[in-house]
Amino acid sequence: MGFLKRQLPVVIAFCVGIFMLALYYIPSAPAKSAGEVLNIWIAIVSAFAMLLGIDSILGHHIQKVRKRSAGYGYSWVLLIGFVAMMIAWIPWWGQAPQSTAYYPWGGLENPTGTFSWMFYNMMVPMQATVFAILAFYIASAAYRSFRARTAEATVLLIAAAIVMLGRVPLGSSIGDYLHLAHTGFMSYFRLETMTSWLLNVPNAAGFRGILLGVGLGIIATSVRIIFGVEKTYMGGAD
Amino acid sequence: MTTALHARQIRLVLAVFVAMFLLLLGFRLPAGAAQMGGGDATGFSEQTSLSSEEGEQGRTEQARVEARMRLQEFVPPTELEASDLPNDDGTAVVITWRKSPSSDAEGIIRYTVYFAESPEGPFAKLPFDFRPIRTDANVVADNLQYWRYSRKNREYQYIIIDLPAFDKAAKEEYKRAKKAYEKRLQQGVPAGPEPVLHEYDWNKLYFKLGVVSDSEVRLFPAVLHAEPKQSWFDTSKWNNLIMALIFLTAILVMIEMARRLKLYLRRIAGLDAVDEAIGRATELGRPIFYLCGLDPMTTVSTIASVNLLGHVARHVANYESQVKVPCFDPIVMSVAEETVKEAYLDAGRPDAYNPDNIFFLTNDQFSYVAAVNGMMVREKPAANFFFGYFYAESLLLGEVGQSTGAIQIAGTDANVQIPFFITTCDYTLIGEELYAASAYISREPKLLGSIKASDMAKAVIIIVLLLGLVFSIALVVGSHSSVSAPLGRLGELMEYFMQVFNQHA
Repeated sequence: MGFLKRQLPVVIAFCVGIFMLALYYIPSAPAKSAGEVLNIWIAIVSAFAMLLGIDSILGHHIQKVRKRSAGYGYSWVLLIGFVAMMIAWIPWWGQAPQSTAYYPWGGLENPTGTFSWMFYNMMVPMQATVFAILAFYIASAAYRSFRARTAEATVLLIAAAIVMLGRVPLGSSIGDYLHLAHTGFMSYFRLETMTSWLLNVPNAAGFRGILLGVGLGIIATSVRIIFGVEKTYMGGAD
Repeated sequence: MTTALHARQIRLVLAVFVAMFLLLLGFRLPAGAAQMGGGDATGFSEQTSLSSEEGEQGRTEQARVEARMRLQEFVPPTELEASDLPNDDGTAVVITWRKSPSSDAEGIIRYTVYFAESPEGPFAKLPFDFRPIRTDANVVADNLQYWRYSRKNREYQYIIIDLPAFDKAAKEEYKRAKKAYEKRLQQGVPAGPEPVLHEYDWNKLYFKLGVVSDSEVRLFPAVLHAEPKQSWFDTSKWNNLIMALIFLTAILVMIEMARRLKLYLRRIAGLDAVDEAIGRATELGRPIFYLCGLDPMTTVSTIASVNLLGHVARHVANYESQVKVPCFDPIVMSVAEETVKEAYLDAGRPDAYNPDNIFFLTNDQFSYVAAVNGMMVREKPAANFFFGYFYAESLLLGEVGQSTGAIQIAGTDANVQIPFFITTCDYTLIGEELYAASAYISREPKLLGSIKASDMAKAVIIIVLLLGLVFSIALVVGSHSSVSAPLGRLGELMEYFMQVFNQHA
């Protein structure tokens, strides 16, 4: 039992890890097809894992309804939604007679079907609503970040103001006005140039630094897992 | 006055409409009818002495003659060769040639390739979609960047011929022919012989390079042939392999060293705060939310997140608090379940483990956000941990969590999401810190060793970058002869070395 739980996963992780690593350097046809087979396995495992997911979510909410736990009304909404979408997905439900192609499994291909109606008129607007909230959250998060309480926040505020102005027509209008109205230094003051510099030099340098670190971190973590040094994902103990 | 103006405007608008209608009518009229109007639809009238068809033919013939002349004047490229495409799975050949002196920057003359199944021909157009390529110096047909690393190759151009495209085209042709054959059979008309799938022998394909202009083609006489071979090692990745082996050795050496020596690791405030957050959750009697990101288990950041979850769950078990893990991916859920369960066992609290706390929500991005945010608002968790790869939902999750007053710690390698987490969370692990988290919390020497090896690699990268910076500055300074500083001499030296390197590359 200990072997199955401890050693075997490490052996499998090592073999598959080294194999996948080798595939990166071997371009031959057998290696390529082996890689494709492994990708198909991943897809199959993921598809079956979805059953586990459905079991988890339905079990969780059915239990909540049974126990009348706090907020069990939301569980009813989920269960009704799940069943309604399943029923709408039944093939003969709302099959368009003029449809040139026959879609035996219903789904989004049938534009007049109930499933499509529910998807486009309920699911999509609700998703869009959640996404739209992002605009307001960006405003509130920006307000919090740009309050010039510290030197760093002040630098951030100035940089953000330059970038925001430099990306809109107003920024270039300000530059044009200064160019016409002044001579000397102020006549060369262009917000769009400053924006480009901020994005392409300090910002890009920071991003690249993070990316280099991430790349090395990924390699180090992969090596730890392949060589069985890191086993926390199996429960941690050696 | 106003009425007159209106009337004039209306007349003007009507006139414009009528003109547009006539113009459209003119475009739709047959060629003969257009000719009746004394000119063609484009307004050219120099060919009115000819009928439209004759005019068209005349123009076409003239264009053909001009195209033929252009092609005849085109100096053929030299050193035409076909060879196996290196570092591939034996499915492509590459045709190379030394640039023609009469390269045409306007793209009127373009290179094309014809093929045959025997050296004698007949040579035909490639059976798949192949756009003739320009003849000017900077364009090559496919993305084979390393071809240009070598300076001598910059005098050459190439086209990669993808051989499976022949088979694909043959299958499509067979399907078309078969469909037409079956239709003829159904209609009862003579169907002819049943179509057969043509199979190309990749080893017996012959090519000719040519130039094309206005549908006129001039093929160069050289018959090009190469047999595709599969490679068992991608030689263009030698540098990558060597670097990987050096880094791997460094990691293994440092792991070994870490067992004997005490290694210093800088403080990571976000990870130090994990204990504080768990303690707070215990005091308040509220749960901790742990999110593993939106990527599947195949992503290293998700693996790092699950590793960290193991440590967090062990602390939670010790503190007798509870951690909730709403999952986006069912496989991540299964792994998280197992990890948390084992952590509770490891902490000696298997009875405290609640399997209902690790659950799948949905694998739809915004539905997941809505569900997690709803739980945050209802359950008011004491702490939220966001570790893994996140997308646009990062701010939505962070802001709602922040509004509930929870301690928030995030860690992600999604660099565009880092600013959102920094804005909304109390602590943020930036990029690689996520990968170091497991080692940092556990303080296991063998895990710390790999962190040290990463640091060494970073030091090497920094040194290389600094050297590059110095040499770049020296190169610029060296180009100004008036500066006779040591930096200028270094720049001249570098320029000389680069010239030598380019000549031999």
